[in-house]
Amino acid sequence: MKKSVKRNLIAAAFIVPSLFIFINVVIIPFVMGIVYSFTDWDGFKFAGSNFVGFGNYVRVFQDSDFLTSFGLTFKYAVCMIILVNVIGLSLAMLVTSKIKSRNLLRSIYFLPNLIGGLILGFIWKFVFTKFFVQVGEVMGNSSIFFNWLDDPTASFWALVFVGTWQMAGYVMIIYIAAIQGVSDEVLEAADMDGAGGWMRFRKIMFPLIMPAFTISLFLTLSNAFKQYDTNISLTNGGPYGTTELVAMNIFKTAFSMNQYALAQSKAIIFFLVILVVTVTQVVISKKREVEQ
Amino acid sequence: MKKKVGAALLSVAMLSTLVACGAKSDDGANKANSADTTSKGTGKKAVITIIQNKVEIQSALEDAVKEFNKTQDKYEVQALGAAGDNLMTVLQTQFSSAPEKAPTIFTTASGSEFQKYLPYMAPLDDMKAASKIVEGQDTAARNDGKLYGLPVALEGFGLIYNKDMFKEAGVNADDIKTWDDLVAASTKLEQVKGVKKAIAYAQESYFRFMHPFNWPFALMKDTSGTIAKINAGELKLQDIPELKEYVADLDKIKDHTNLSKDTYDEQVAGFAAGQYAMIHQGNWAQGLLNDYDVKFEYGFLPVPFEGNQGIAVGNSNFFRVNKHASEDQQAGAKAFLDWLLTDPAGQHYVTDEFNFIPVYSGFDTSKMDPLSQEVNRYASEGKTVKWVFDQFPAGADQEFANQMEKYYAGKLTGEGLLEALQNVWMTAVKK
Amino acid sequence: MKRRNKSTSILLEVIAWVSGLLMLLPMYIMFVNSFKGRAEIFTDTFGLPKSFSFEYYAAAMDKMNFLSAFKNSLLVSVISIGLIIIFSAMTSWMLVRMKNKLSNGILLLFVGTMLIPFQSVMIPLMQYLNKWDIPSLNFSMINTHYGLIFMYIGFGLSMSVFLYHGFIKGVPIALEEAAMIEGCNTWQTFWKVVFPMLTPITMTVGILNLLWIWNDYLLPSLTLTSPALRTIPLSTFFFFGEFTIQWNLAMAGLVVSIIPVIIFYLFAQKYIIKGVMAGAVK
Repeated sequence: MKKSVKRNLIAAAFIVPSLFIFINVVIIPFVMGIVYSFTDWDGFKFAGSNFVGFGNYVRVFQDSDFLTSFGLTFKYAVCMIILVNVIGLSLAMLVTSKIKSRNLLRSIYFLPNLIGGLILGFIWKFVFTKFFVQVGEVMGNSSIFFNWLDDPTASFWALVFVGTWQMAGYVMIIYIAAIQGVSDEVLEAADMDGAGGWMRFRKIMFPLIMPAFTISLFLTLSNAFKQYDTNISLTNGGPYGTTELVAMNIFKTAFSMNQYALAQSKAIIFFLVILVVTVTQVVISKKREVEQ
Repeated sequence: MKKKVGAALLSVAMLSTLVACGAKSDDGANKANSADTTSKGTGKKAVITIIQNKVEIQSALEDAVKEFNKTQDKYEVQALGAAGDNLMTVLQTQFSSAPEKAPTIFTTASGSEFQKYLPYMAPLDDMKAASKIVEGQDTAARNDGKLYGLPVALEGFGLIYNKDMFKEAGVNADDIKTWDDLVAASTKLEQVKGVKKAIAYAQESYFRFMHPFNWPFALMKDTSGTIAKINAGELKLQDIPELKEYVADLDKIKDHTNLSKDTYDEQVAGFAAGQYAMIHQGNWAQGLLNDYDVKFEYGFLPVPFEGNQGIAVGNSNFFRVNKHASEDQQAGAKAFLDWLLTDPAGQHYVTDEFNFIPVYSGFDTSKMDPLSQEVNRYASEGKTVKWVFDQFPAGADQEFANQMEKYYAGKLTGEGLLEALQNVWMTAVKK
Repeated sequence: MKRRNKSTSILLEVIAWVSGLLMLLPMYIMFVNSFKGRAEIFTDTFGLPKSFSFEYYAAAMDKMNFLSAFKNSLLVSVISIGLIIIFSAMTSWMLVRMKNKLSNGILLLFVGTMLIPFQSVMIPLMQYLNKWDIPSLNFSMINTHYGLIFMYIGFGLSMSVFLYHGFIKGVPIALEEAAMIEGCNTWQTFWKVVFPMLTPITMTVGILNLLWIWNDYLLPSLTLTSPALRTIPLSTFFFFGEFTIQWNLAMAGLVVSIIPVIIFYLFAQKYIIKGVMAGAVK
């Protein structure tokens, strides 16, 4: 009996500090937010707000702007997931291979990440509105080098491009750690068995770095859905409101339109949908993981 | 196994509630004193905090604060800071969690922002500065007859034009009395070397839509009445003659403009570099113009719509005093603001360091910068038009601006623009 | 291994370098414009500056009160990251070893909340933590460094637990069992046997957390009101007006702010390199 009590305490000691902080910083405010979403909270003191049941939630589904931005964010997330992971993984492989400049390159690929999303958006805005236009003029009539931010479709791809550019380095770091973790013996055995580069990658390396893949996929997904800073600085929803992602819509609802309770409801719905999507993704990937 | 973690969770939950409940702060004053972590103990001085978002004046404000602190030892003023939109977020957060700890002096615009924070504003009628406000500039801060804000600065916008370039093109600013004159002048101006377009607008929502559309609304006979009718659905934008005429005028001048594609920065930079002959801007651009080291003479030109001869004058920001701060703090806040606005030592900062046009009598305005002097000139000659865009529906500025963007991109005709604006207006009013 | 022929490796090098240059473009722009006056930035955004004077760096650092801001950023970042690493490593390991429904539930709790956008918990968080004031002890979660650190830990745990969890599963339990047999208790086993094996992922967790904490603007702007407590992002607000940005100063300020992070990354990289890793395992 004593042993199991002791074990309980030890387990608790390892987990409780984290849980304590986490619950107080994340869970409780989140629950508060859920409660607020069922009221007519005005963004200030909660006392005095009235319960309105599901009223806000009904309004959310009637809000065409929200639904549009939700769909757009989905599209954005899908593009990001594919591009970021393909590029991130490729970079990680480049950097762990025998290329001469790999150490230098590892640092260079990491640099974009150091610049926060907000500044990054401004800088790339410069590039798209000025640099691209100048290059286009110099090269004559160009279909690639025009101001991407003037056109809804191109604007969308600009967002994807900048997001990918920033996240690829982030994800690369995770893949590097995973690749390094694949033991040399396994790789040598594969080489000796005559496996060529691509084969080796597909059959040996890839399954062994699956955990990293799950993690990266999940991180990319969650970051893509929460994208706000770059959205604001690069396009600000433009041209004429066509690139407004969900986080921006929610923020606007709260701070520009002063509808805080409605914004909370939007955030909750958003959270639930993403939860379902990511749980599905994780469950599927975990089934494919190889545990050592 | 289950017991382990169950126990862990329970203890965490209990611990959290214990801390949360046991540490409840008592209501009341003197909270802001503990917010000042740089001084030991609560000290005898009441600490007053001031927050505003014109970053250009932040360091000058800090100097003013230092000087005020030296002149007396009852209060200590501290300048906090916020950048742009972040101010609203910060105010929202602080007032919603602990109003008594929120800044003692803060700034907000008029209109919906005024209404939003009104419950937190103290009445200021007893202040010295209150009695000196220039006539008419205090109405936007009054509620039920009481005054809840002190205007920060007088501002005016219109067409800022390059006087030297006009001479070079052979255009006389005084001859531009109708819109067609403006179009004709634009054609001439574009002949000058280096000029891309005659007129430039900026893309930020206030510069792209709110200010430009101030003209037709302000020049109506009964602006408030008309707006009330629009809000009630009795009148549509596309049926209002002044708006129809304005949009027709926009059609005429469109090709001579930059289609509001530039950011404010780029717009002013372009003007400074001689790429634009005129920019639709206000005297707040003076700081930027100084930064760009402009070498030519410039001034304001009235927008020639419906016989207008003036520039649009108003003020966008008001100092407010936090009603939930302690009595000492409020008194100190009022003392500082009175010093700033009525004492020559403070006034010096307003005109010479902040480059503001004072909205109060008793200021020495002889050393003001060029644009401010222009605004003053128009104001003293009575050639002004009111700011009415704060009566537009709240929160819709970006939506309105989006429609303007579509119009400029050729996706909407003038008529279509008015219909689109009408839709935005009615949606915003319903919310 | 030696099968890769020359042309493939050259091609790979070229691809690698083109990607690298693309990555560097914004950094180049940032760097180059930190030496120009405003007018020059406008007329010639992408060219090299006329002169490499450091006047804007001096002006930027002065306005930012750089030394104080740097000290504050360093303090908050290092302590936050250190505690995040300690807590999340401990928690993840215990969750992995427990392997029951409850531990999975807790993991899901941590991971699921990664999806919550900060803006939606922002105001309730401030309202809640404001209630933790103990005036008599001068204790407050708001406008203090320790309050901010507390919040950073709370927000950083999700991702860190997630990362650690994924990698700890790959650590063979045999080593721990051996240690236990030799008389180590749980605490010792974790710190002496398990944690050293986690070095690559620890460094990864450190870097990833550093990135967002170092550059974070929103949260500090809401809780740190005293100028003396400002972190670097807060100090750079001077250059970002409501409608206009003082690019040269902003760029100079930014360049100066990311140098410490680059140094840390270069340092941390060493620990992710295979050689060190292999040595630890064998």
